[in-house]
Amino acid sequence: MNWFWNLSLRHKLTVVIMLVSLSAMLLACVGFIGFEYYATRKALVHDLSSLTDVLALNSRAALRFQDKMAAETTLASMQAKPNILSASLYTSDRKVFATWSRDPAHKDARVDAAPQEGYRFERESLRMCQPAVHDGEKIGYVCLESDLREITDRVRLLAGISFLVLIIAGLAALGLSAKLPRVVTKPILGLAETARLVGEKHDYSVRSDVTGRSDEIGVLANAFNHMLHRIQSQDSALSLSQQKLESLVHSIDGIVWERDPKTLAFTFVSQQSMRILGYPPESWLGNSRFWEKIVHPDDVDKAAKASLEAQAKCEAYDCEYRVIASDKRVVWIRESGVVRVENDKPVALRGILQDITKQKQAAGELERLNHRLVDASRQAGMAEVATGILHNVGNVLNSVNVSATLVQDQMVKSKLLTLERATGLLREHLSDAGAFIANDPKGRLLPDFLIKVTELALEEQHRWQEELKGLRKNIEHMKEIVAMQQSYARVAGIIEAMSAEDLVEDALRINAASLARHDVEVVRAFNKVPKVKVDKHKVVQILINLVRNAKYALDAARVQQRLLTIHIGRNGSDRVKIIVQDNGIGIPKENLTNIFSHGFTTKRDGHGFGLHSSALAAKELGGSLTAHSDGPGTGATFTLELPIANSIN
Amino acid sequence: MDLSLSARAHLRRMALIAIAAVLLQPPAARAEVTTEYKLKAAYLLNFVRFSKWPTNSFAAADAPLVIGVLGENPFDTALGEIVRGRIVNGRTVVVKRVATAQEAKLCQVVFIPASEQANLPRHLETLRDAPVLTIGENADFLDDGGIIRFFIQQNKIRFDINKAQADATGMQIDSQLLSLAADVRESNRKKGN
Repeated sequence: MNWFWNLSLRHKLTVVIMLVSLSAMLLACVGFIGFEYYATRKALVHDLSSLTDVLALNSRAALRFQDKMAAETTLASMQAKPNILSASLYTSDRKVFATWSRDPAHKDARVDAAPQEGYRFERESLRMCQPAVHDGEKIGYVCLESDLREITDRVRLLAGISFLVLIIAGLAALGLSAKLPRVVTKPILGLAETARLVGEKHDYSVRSDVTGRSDEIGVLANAFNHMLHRIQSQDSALSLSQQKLESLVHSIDGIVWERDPKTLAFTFVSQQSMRILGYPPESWLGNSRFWEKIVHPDDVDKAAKASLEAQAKCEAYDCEYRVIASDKRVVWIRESGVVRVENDKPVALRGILQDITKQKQAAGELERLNHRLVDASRQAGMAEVATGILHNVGNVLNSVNVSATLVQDQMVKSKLLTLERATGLLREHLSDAGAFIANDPKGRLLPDFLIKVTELALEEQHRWQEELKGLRKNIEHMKEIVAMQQSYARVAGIIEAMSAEDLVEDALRINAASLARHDVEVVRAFNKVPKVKVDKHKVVQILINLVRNAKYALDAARVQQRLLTIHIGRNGSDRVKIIVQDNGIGIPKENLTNIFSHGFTTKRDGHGFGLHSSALAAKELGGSLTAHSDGPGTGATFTLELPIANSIN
Repeated sequence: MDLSLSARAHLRRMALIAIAAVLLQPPAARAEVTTEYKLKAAYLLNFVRFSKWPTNSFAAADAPLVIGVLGENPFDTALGEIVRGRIVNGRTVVVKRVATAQEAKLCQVVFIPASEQANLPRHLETLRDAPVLTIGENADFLDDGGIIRFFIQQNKIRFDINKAQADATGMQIDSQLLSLAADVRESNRKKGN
């Protein structure tokens, strides 16, 4: 049937008309032939019935007189009827009385042994039997057999005529169908031509001619024209809004683009390309490798990978890379793209390229500033630590000095000097030593004196020994302080998992001497917590700062017992908090707000950098540092929060 | 039940009739005589069937058709039996013995047996103009003015018809009957003329 649909409308109509008329004709012919067949049969039966009646009439005498010869003569009259094949007469008791057959050879074969009243059609003949009645008395039966030539002849004739009529009618229908459809097809073809014009030239101003037509085609053409009118107005509205949209797209500060997700070729690039990079949009569209050519060679792989990955996941993405502009400038570009998905398939990549060179430069500047700040902070921190160390070492040196002076003083006043006088006396009296000791009044005192001096000297040695032991201990202490400083200086900047307890202990150890000197009692309230992931140096520096601040606060306060309490505990699922609490002078409310700002200090010789850098460092580590105080004289609480080791990537 | 009972009764009755028929059969010698006349009786009736009389030959519209046997009756009861209950052209058929030709004029059919040979011309002369179908057995029957004559040929009963005589009396004889006749005399002439 495919060929039919490909036919032109005219031919289709012709085929339809032909099919309809021919099938109608055929049906009519079949009907006629059928009817004729039936009618001829009926007529044949009727004719044969009449003939049988006549024969019955003519055979009455023969039957009455049982005259077989006369009967046969009567039957032989059927010779004149060419359709009669055989004839027979039967007596009233149904016995064969006389027979006749056109074909004498089959005379008996053709005749029924007994009459069967009525008629019946056989394969090639019609048999009819009727009783012969005379004076209301059945005197016998007459049977006739007719061939069916009349039926077949008539049917054949009619079929021939039908065939001829069919051919003539078919030709006539063909002739008419070639002309008639024009009435129908002409306006349709006109409509089709209009549609073709619209399709090819996109000219929505053409209209189909509908004058004087009010049939369905007229309605169709009218509707088509109306549709064209609407399309025309919508088209103009669309192009207007497209212009608007385009000017909007082209005025966006950035290169708006669209790419084919399969070939990655650019299908649209806004005109800002010219302004930002100096390349006209056409150069993108015409060349599928244009993008790779203009992207900075170091960034090509990175940028391409980002967009490909985003496309594979159908996600929006952002990436930044450098592009070499037409005037060889390096322009930082941020590419933001989305993948447009329809029916689970990416149909377009769309996005915008923005010039972020200035932001990049500003960010670089900021980073440099930050670096400088961090450096300054680190130096300041180190100075702080150094100050602490020098202070501690200085304190210890004081003790060392005291011990040394004490030893020196004692040495000067030593009883050993009196021993020298005694030995000088002995040297003068070497020759008469015995007499001198025995007789001389001075000599007699000498042994007792020696014993006493020796006792005193031993006592002195013991004291010195004690003093030297303290001295060595102090020197050991200094060594330890210096070594700790060295260890912190070395590990700075490395993020590692640390025990909060160890960090606190390190900070306390560094301040141990001064805390002891200032009579500060340290209370440890440590809970078991997971390790924290931190830069050890920075955290210890923060803690040292906090401990030192607490110590100053306690120093300045007049309290009976100077208490420094350090809590370690968990804060939520991902933080550990270290609380450094003192019962010192506290912080006035107005100071709490700017306590972490740069340059704020309450110390006479402070530079206001400690808490500021501590807070910065805490933030840098992913934690926080907060302060709390109920006011002057109520003490202060500083809380340092640090991230738990496993919660950081 | 009723049907089968009545059927059985019917069978029994049929059987009785058959036995009676065997018992009442006439002696063989006599039967031989009557075979010819039985046939002739049947022929007589058939002749009546294929003949038409002028309407005035009947006394009334429903008057019976009378077959007269003139003189000696060779049929015995055969003719009477054969016509009994027959209706031809709407009329009942009766057989009547007549003694004279004058009497026979009132019949529609008159059979004149061979035994009336001597009186034949006189009888026929009397009946010449009357619309009476005269049937005889004598050789000169037609010459004498009779209408149908029986004769035996090759052991078969055959007949001649004098159509001219029939026409003269206003009677009509069916052409089928004429076609069965051995000879049909179209003009009134005497044999030997």
